[in-house]
Amino acid sequence: MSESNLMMHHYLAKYLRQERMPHIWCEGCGNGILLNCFLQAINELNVDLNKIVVVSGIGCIGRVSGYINVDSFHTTHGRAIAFATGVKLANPELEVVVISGDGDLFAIGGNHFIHAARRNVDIKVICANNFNYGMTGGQYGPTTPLDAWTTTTPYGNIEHPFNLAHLAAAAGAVYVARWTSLHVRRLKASIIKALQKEGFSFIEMISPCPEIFDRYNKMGTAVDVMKWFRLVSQVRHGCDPAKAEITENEILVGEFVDIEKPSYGRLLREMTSRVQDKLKREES
Amino acid sequence: MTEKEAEEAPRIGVYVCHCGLNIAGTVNCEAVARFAATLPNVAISKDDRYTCSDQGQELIKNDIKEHNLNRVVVASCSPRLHESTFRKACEDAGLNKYLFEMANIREQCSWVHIHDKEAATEKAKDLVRAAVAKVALLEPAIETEVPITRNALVIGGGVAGIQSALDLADTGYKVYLVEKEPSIGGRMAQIDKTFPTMDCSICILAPKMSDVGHHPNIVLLANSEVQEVKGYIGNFKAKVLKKPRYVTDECSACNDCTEVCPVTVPNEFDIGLATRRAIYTPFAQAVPSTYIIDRGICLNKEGIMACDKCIQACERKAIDFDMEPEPLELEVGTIIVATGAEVYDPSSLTNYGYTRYQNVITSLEFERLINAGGPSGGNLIRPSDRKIPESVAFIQCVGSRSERGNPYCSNVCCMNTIKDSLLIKEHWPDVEIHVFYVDIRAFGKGFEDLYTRAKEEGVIFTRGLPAEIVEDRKTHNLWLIGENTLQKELYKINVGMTILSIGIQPCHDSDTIQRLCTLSRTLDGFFMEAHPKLRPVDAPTGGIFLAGCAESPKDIKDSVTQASAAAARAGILMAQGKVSVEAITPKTIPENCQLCGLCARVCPYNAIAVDKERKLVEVAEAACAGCGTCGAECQFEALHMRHFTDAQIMSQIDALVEEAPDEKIIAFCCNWCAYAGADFAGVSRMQYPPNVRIIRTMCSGRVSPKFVEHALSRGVGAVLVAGCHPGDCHYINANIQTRKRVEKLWKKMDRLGVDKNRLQLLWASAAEGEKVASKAKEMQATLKKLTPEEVEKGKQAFAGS
Amino acid sequence: MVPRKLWRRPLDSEQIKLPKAEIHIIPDLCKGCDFCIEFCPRKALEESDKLNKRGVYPPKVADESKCTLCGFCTAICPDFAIFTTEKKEETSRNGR
Repeated sequence: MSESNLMMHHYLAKYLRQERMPHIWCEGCGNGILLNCFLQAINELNVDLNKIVVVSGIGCIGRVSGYINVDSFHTTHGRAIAFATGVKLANPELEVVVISGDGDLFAIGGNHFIHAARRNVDIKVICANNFNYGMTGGQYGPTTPLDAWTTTTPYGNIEHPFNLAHLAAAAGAVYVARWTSLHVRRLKASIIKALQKEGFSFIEMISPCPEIFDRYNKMGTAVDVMKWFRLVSQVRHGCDPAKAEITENEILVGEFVDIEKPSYGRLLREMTSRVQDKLKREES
Repeated sequence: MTEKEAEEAPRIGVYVCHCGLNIAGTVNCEAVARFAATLPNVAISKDDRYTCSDQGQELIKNDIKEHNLNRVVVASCSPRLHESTFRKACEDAGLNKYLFEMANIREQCSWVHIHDKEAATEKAKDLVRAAVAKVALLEPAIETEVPITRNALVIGGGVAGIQSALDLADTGYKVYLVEKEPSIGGRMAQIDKTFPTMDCSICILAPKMSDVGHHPNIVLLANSEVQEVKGYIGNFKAKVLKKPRYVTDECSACNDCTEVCPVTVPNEFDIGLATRRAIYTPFAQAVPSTYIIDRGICLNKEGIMACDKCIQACERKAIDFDMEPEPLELEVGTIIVATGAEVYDPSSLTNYGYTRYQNVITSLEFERLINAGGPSGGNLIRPSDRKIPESVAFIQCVGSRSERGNPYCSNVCCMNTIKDSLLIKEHWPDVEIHVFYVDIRAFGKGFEDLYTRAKEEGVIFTRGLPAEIVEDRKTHNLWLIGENTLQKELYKINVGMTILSIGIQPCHDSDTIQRLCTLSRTLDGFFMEAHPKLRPVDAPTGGIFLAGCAESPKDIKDSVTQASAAAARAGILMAQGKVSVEAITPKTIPENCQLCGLCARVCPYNAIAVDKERKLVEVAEAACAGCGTCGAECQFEALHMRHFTDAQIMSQIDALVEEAPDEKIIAFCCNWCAYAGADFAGVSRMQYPPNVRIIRTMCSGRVSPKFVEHALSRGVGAVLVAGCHPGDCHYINANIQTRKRVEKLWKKMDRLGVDKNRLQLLWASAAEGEKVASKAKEMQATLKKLTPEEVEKGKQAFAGS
Repeated sequence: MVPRKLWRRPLDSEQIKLPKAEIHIIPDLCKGCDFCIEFCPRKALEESDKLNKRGVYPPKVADESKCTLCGFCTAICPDFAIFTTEKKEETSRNGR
């Protein structure tokens, strides 16, 4: 049963594949908010829908490429960044956005992430961080907090989680921001900034996972989790991401890194043209 | 001063001043002078008509040289008035200025015992004896010099603050102007026209505001508040918090943001007669010319941005919701307090119906209505039906000169009403205007002319304030009912609108400023000046000056005058570049010191450091303010309290109780409050019994329990320890120690069976002469009931003290 | 400036025309997360008592005049089930 015609008058309707709506995400899931913010961003920028590509991985958030009405690809687990790199290098005129989850990007996909950041490939990576592998029933992942309950850590997680913003900054990303699902306007503004910036941009969105992780760890309803975000988040632009660990009492959000560096694609093109010129001169 | 001189015996010159008839009218000055000649170490003793005059000072100087005097006592007015005058005279004659002492036989003798000439004369003799005893033990001293920072802090950005800042900045000093509102301008920016010239207020103020904004020497800190002031004259450290505007300097004041903001509230500048948004500029000519977001009403709370309309509308991306308050630390040499005035709220005068009747407005609301840039475009409209009234009434003295409001006269309301009535006549000549007054105070230049003009224009002045205002429910007209006291008949007048001429009050947070700068306030709540006639812009605390309505209600001309005066006075200090620290700071006596550290603990300025390793106690002279609390705390006589030593004070006590001790009350009064309060009682000619003998210390914290015990052991009738109110101590909190010591003494007296009532504790400010006089009367009553046995018991109990 | 409460109705309160809002709710898209109800700055929404097709209670408009068109509900709804538009005809007085 399609409720697509219900959405007709919504101003963002044109960015969605109506026949696939409503999406399958749970009530209060941050993925829906991320989709909403992303669409607000491309709407505000009046992006040419033929010039933007969305690539997603495996996870609940992976389904986002099915909902956005642009050229999109739903890749295998952990390989979204690899695919995106290929797209961008093949056609540099395209704006390539990777939207994926904490498990997909940093567990199985961790290696792709750090090297893409190191190379400063001009792609934008937006991570919906819900602290577990939600799609498969709630197993622990690289961002699961210490002591948290998941199906594969029934006695409490004994692993320390990644500080994703710190990881991205250390790997060389030119733009690193963290927001929660409650900071919708700032998230949109960060997405806009990332889209207009050359180089590897990383935006982390802390998300509720009301049916799985939040329920397992007795965090209350989705509204309760959002209220907790409001209580514990502090905006600290320019903060050193190494010092911005997520704890029960504090989530530091803001734009942590905003620098300029030539992207991999630019350097590649410059080198190519340099070498080609040289060869041409040697020939003649 | 050579060692030889130090070993020389004291040769004291005593001068008893007549002060015209001020002293001589009550005290027999010749008799006192003759008496003084009999005292030990007195070389010469004279009486003179006006000792402080040139001729009087010459007399002293000549005597010092001719008779080889090495100590001088002048018995005349309060040392708070002329100690520095005479000290300078001594210095000019080659005598170290610390070898001089005064006996206060005017404010604390002749003026308060006018009807008891014999007793006043006896008291004067006692006071001279005490002064002679102390001066014999005084030591010469050289003052240390402290550099003065050549920066000034002006607190308050009204016309007075603006003028002071401009004057100081033009002189070449760096000025920090701190204003708590988002824009400078104060009350003057809200007024329409000024009297008596009918100049447009904002037109004459705006260029000054603009100058402040552009002046290279002025750092304008608007939307900022002073949080802390530490230090002393020439060396203040002020902590100022710059509150965030949430709008950056990129703002070009284009107004695009206010048009889209969905939140509206009545605005403060127009007294609620117009609307503003959550993002707004206080008024069109605001300096700094930028906007500010009122986070209290903005939809974005707790870090979550619900609404981003202003951000979307701002082309220059000047809005930043994440701005943090910026704490600043300023180092300044002088401070000018120009915190200005607020207006009286007449809601509590229920008979006038303000807030119940639409068409009863205040004079400040009137200014906004009649201002062409105001909420009604310059039309004086009735709030009820937006029509120009056919008749209006002004009621004077609302909240002033009354027990139901403030007791003082607010200075400006009479002329303000006259100016307002002429403004109405100018625009709407047919409007009938009534002014109900008690007195018309048109004292200034051009004021009487304006008053005459108003009368000629047909304004009806009726002497007699309405008792009540009653509203006509249908028309919303107002019935004013009262008595015309000149015609001795009742009136009942119907008018379309009534304007309440409200009075001026000190700013509601003036007690914060008072505590920050250790100022005193008069009973009216305005800040007190050092001397009402001779030092009208100096605060009693050195290095701090007052300007504008912060000091007392006044009009713009007087505010500007006072502001320039304060700037000049501050300029004197900063021009000199250095100030001398009075040589009344303690010196340590290491041989006696047990390193207990109690002195360091009670010092309000943390000026004493105890080094247990090197077995040293060091006093930081520049930080010491000379309160003497450390000396009273020390049990081992390890601190030599220069100019107020134990020996000197004991000698004063001994001198005062030499004759008839049981009839006397020895009062230890602190220089800044209690002693000044006693002076004020004298200035106001409050009479009280002549039993009281006052010994001056800088702070009540100097009063050691052994002084009290010594006095009781000599059979004194009663002892009074008087100081500043708790929380208002001139030396921050030294009077806490005073209270502790007195309470301990009471316990001891109880234990030893001595009547506790013979030791009294009084907190009185410099403006509370009344309190000092009452206490003296109260204690005299106690004295009358004192039996010889009780006196004897006291002597025995504390024998050996 | 003046610390007392401002009690008058401003003279320009009629002239200030704030845009009037129209709140559109698509009940059958709503999953009942309650974000819009909870975080509306003016509390213009409340839970309705009519179940939708999913078996949850979507929001309903409590007081449309309170809405300031801030757009937060539109921005935060994960399911695109609520959005606001400006009513083009007559406009309202002060929104307060």
